[in-house]
Amino acid sequence: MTRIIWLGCFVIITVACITFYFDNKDNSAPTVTIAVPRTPLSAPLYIADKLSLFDSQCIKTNLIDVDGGVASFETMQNHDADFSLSSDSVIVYQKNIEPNFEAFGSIVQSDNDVKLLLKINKDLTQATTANKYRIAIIKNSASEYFLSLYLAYLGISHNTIELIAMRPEEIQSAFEQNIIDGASIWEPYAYEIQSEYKQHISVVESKSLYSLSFNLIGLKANNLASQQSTYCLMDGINKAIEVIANQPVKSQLIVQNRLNLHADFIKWVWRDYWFKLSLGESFLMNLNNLEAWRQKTHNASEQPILFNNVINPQVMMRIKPESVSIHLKNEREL
Amino acid sequence: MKLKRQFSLIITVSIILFLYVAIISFQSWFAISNEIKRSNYIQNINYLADKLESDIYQLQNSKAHSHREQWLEYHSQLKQLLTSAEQSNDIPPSTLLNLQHQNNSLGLLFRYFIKVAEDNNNTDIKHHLSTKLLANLQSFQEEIRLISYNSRNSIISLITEQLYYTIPILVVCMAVISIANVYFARWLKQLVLKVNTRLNVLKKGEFGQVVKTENSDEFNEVFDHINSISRSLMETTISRDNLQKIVTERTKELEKLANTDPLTQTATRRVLFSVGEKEFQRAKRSGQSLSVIIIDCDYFKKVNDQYGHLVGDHALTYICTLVTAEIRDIDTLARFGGEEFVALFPDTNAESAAIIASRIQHSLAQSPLIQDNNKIILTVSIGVAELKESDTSFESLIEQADNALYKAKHEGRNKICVA
Repeated sequence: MTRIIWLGCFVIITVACITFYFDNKDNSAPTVTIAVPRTPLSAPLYIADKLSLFDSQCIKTNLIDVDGGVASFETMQNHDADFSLSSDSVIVYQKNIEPNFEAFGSIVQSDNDVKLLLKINKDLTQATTANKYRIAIIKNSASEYFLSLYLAYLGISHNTIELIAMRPEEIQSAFEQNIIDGASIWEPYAYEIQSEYKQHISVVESKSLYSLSFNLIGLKANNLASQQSTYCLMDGINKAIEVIANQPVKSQLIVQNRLNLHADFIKWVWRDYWFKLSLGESFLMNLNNLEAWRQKTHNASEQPILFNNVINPQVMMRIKPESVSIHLKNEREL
Repeated sequence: MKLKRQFSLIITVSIILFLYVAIISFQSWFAISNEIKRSNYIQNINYLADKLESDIYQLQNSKAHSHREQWLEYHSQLKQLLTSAEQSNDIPPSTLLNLQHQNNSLGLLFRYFIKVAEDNNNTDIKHHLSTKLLANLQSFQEEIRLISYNSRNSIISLITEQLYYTIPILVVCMAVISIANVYFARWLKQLVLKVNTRLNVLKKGEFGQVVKTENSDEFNEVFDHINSISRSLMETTISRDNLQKIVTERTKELEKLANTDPLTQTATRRVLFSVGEKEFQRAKRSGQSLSVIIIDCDYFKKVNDQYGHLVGDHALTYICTLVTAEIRDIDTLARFGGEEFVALFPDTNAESAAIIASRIQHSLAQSPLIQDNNKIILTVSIGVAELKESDTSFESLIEQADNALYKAKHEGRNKICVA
């Protein structure tokens, strides 16, 4: 009997030690904060977080909900987050302002995320310099780019449009207060506003005019611990994308619950997304194209920008090397 | 274990192993075939994507409608190609969905591009949209390259799996089957050899038993049959040697019966003349002497009448016994007829023959026949003759001896006369 008691004590102590060890080991993993825009495009982060796909031995994640890619980027710039999710437009626009970040790769693309909302009785081609249309945009973002692209497509002069810079969450009340006639805004705001004011606001058909990519961006850091955190973060996102491919219904449900959106909307918007981890030549082509457009629209005549120093292929090379097909030019080549 | 069961077991194991390897090989071949098919499919997609890209470059510098129509045609073909993949599973469904989505997006963007391309004043947007098209196409091709990369890796993995998994198993299977078959064949050969050996021995007339093996019921049955046959043959069949022995003995017996006088156990007349002729010829060739004596029992009829025929037979037998004791082994004593006997003496002249005749008479005189308390004195008359040069046959010698006997009889019996 005495032996059994001693054996039991030994087992209990051993289990406690092992648990203590692993708990401590677990606690040694660094915590990273990601500013996550409130959009279905952030699905890989939501799913990875929900299903614990981030290696707890490597990192612990803290997701901060923000409104839009610009807000996400600014949160990161303010050092309130280590990483952000932003569109290629944000990279191009912010590159000129703050070159202290780097893009690790694209996690999702969409050709119908940014939309132009207009009041029912409004037609952009009818705008005049005397009767300018007031269109809300989110500055230095996909919103701004998309509107300029759409206006150019229609051949509409900027003189007939009054651009009003806003935050995404202000747009709905701006419509209500008749401050604006239209807005260039991304999902789910476009859906929410249009659903709320179906009788008064319509969505301009513009699918595929702008295919944006949503990208993982982080502050530049030279220490190994930070690099390791980035690897682990990207690895978790990669696993989440595999879950999306293999279990789309489950994935949509997670996003739906996270964003508190209707299932029909998620299902509808999901059709315009293609989730894939990539860092290809197309990404660089898009950045260059956006930059050229930015210079044209802002009447800037700057030197061509090298995106070498904002693209870091090392992370993607380690996680999914077959997805990397980018060739970064150096100064001499240029 | 039954032979049939052993053989069935080996066959079954062999078939199972081969089926296993065949199934795995077929699966691998099937998988590789699918990957090659997928690779070909991807090449077709790549070809169309390259065509689309080429036409966009053309359209950047030209408004030619032909290029627009051509682009739309290629785009339509690409759409059909992607639709056809839904049935064949050449591409994973989620990836296929992405490709279809991107392709549709390309088509819509192209329409935007065409619209602005008409306006010569809107070159910036035209260039921007054409570059966008190229970037989107590039993204599409990157996706295709990824599929191609995975497909290639899959083929390599399958082939490697074949090399490191299936082929060693196949080699092991072949080795096991070969060893089992060699062992089985050797064992079978030993058993057959055993049966063969026993049957050969049986053919020679040796009726031994086969030691049964414990390894095969079928062969044990064969051995039982062989042993049973062997026992039957042994019981009912006389060996050739034994038969020969019996025949020889029987022949000797028969010959003896044919050459021996049944009463006196002396040679028969036939034997006398046969042996006499041979000795005559031999004497003639070699020049050696040859003599004969004819012995006749005196007053034999009187003995028969007085004592009976049985005593008479006994008397003749008694005389022959005494005569046999006096002659040599090389001499021949034969019953010439009735109470007459002839003795043939090779290499003996008349004088020596007469001496033998004298010993015979003396022996008879010394040893009377005792029969039923009767003492019977027997006497014989003897004629002696020696072969002369003038004799042309053995019969003439006998005739001379017979003449001498007649003379001995005429001179009072119990006499010896030499011819």
